[in-house]
Amino acid sequence: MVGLDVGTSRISVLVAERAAEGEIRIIGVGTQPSDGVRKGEVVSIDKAVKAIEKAIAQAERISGVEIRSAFAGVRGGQVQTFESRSLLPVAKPAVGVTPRDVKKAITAAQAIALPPDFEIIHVIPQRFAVDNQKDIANPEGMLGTRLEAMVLIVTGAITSIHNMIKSINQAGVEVEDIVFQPLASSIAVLRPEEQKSGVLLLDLGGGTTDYLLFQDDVIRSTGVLKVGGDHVTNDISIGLNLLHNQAEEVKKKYGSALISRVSEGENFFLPVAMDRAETGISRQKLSRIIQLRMSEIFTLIRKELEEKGLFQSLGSGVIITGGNSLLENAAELGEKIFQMPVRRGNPRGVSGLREIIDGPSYAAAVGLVRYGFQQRAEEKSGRGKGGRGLIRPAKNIKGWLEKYF
Amino acid sequence: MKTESKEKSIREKYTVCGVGNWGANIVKAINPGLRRRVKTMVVNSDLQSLICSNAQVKLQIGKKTAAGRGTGGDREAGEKAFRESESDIHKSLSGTEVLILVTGLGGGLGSAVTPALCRLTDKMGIFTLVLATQPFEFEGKKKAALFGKSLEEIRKSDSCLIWFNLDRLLGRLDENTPYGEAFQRCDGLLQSALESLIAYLTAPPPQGGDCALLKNIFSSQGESVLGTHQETGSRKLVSIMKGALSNLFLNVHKLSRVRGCLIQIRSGKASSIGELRQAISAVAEMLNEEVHLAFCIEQDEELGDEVKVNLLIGGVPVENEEETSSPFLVTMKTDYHPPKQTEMDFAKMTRGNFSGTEPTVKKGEDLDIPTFIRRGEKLA
Repeated sequence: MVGLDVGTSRISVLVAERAAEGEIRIIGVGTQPSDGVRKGEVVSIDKAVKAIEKAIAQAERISGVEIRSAFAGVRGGQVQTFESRSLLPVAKPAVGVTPRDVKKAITAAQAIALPPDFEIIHVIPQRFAVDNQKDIANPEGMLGTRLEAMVLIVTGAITSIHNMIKSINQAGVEVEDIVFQPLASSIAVLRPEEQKSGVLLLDLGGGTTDYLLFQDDVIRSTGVLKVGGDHVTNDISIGLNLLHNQAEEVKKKYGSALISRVSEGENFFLPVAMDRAETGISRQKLSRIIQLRMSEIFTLIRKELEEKGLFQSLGSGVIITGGNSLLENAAELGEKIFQMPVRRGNPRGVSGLREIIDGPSYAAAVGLVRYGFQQRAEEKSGRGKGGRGLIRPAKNIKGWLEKYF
Repeated sequence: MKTESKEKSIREKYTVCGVGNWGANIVKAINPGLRRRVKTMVVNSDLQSLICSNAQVKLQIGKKTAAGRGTGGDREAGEKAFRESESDIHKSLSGTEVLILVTGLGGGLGSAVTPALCRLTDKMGIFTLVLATQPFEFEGKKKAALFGKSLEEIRKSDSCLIWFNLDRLLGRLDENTPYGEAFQRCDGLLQSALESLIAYLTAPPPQGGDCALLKNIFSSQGESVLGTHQETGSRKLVSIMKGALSNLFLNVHKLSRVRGCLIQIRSGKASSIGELRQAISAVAEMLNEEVHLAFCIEQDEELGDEVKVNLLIGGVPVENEEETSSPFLVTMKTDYHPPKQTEMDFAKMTRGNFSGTEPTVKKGEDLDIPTFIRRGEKLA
């Protein structure tokens, strides 16, 4: 089982196997700086292919396994989610709701008007209703005449998804399935009780910030904001007149998302480079630049959720993961903006090579692996549909069925 | 017939005159559509340059004193040449009501003839705008001195002075840019500025042609800066305007102290009044509420889906020497100035790493531009 996360700043490949006791063990890792990917989307297939090949090769070396197919994550391409419902008569009211009824209802809910170059990436069942009984997680077996299905539909631009698949294919890897990245990250990072009470997951990546909102065990909303760690670095680069890679280093070493946690007069020095003498830069100045940008990212997401009427019902808090969440005081800043507890999430539920993968940067890849195993298990039990073809992803009902049935 | 004679009379009224070699080059390259609206003229002592020019009126000055050659950076020679040919110049300019002089101030001809021309046009009652450039810092102190003197003299006249510091433009470019491309960019800057002026002046009132307003915008001690932006596709006018604003590369502090701005919009499709209002308000907001604003908007169907915006800003306060220094210094600097951390002066594109990518726009804001810039924060 291979999880392949092609991000804006880095590409992560995880090779995993199922151990005898059922646990998932990571046996190989490949990490490469990404290339040809901007804001979560592939903009140069050639560059992306080269970078993916390198990452795959590294993972193959460590795991000793030849990688032929993988579960790949997608983020970019104007992802939009919205809720849809359908109402169908139950086929045999005397017998009750059958799996076939459920399938039909979910399929019917997918019949929405899509703009021409968009396609459905995921259909996530949320809740069902049978006659007057609402809020049902699993309607199978219930007696009634009408079945209503409420689903969350995730759509994305066809071209960006296909560019991603193409790049992976050209690197010699078949795409077993495409996963909307925040979904995968949530599997890796969230605890079951968090999903129940309602939580917002933020995957702070290099090119994008992805979010996923859970409420009462139901995914209410998910989306992608095309602003990420790269923007923080760019801000620093412009504000302090540094090269991009210098800015990146400085951000990691000395940056803080909260200027209040940095004392005045704390300076750091840049190494002598080109024609610049050693100059002392104030940490407060650096942190101010970072704080403004990170606040904006958090605020934009909060606003988007407020506009959808979803923010008020956030229950237990916010979880941040992804490489950009490693910024010092990012969680504390989040608490100020979201006005609720914010914690950092690390990938869970896997073993092996923990020293390497134990960090928010790998949450996305771990999620893909765990999702992949779930999918395969479903296929075996005959519930979900099979994997995707090489070119066009079919409209599948994803592994969320497992949660509800 | 009627439109033709009307066009002709407009053309007589507006004259664009290149003074010296560089001025002649710029005039040569005026966009044909705008060219039709003005009378083009070149004044030079260098015969070679005149022969190559495509201007309608070519005036070789100083036939005796300069004998068909350039002045070689000698101001006196330029002055002599002018005196010799003053009556010829006078004749060529009769019938002109508005004159735009284009020149590089620092050479022998430009720096001598331009102030003299301004004095002449004052007497003739011709409204004159001088579009000029400051020599590059690497060109040396002599040219810089000539420039300074010319500037002073032009200011004494009634003319409207619009001058550009090209080192500022060079400073924005990557050091590895080939010099040909770099100089082309400089030419392009002047070209755009000239075209904006021509478009504005020749537009029918009430939209354009207000010389007094131009005078208000440009007559002060400050320099001018040009920001341009263009996009294809259905982006809102206000976003393109903000793009042009950020391409001025002026920090917020300076923007709030400029005197005025000439906005030129050319679009393939007509914009709505709402969009126009929004876009122009955005400029007024970013600058300050007291600025003098002149705008001219034209629809050119040939542009198709494209929209081009030129922002010509006047009266930018010139603060200190350091900001005009370019990275192209040939001589070694003996005393090193560490970068100032009180002022944010941008040597890079404000979109930095993201220039050349599809911008992330939310509610009309380009999120690729650093947050601290958009919030107008002055980082101490």
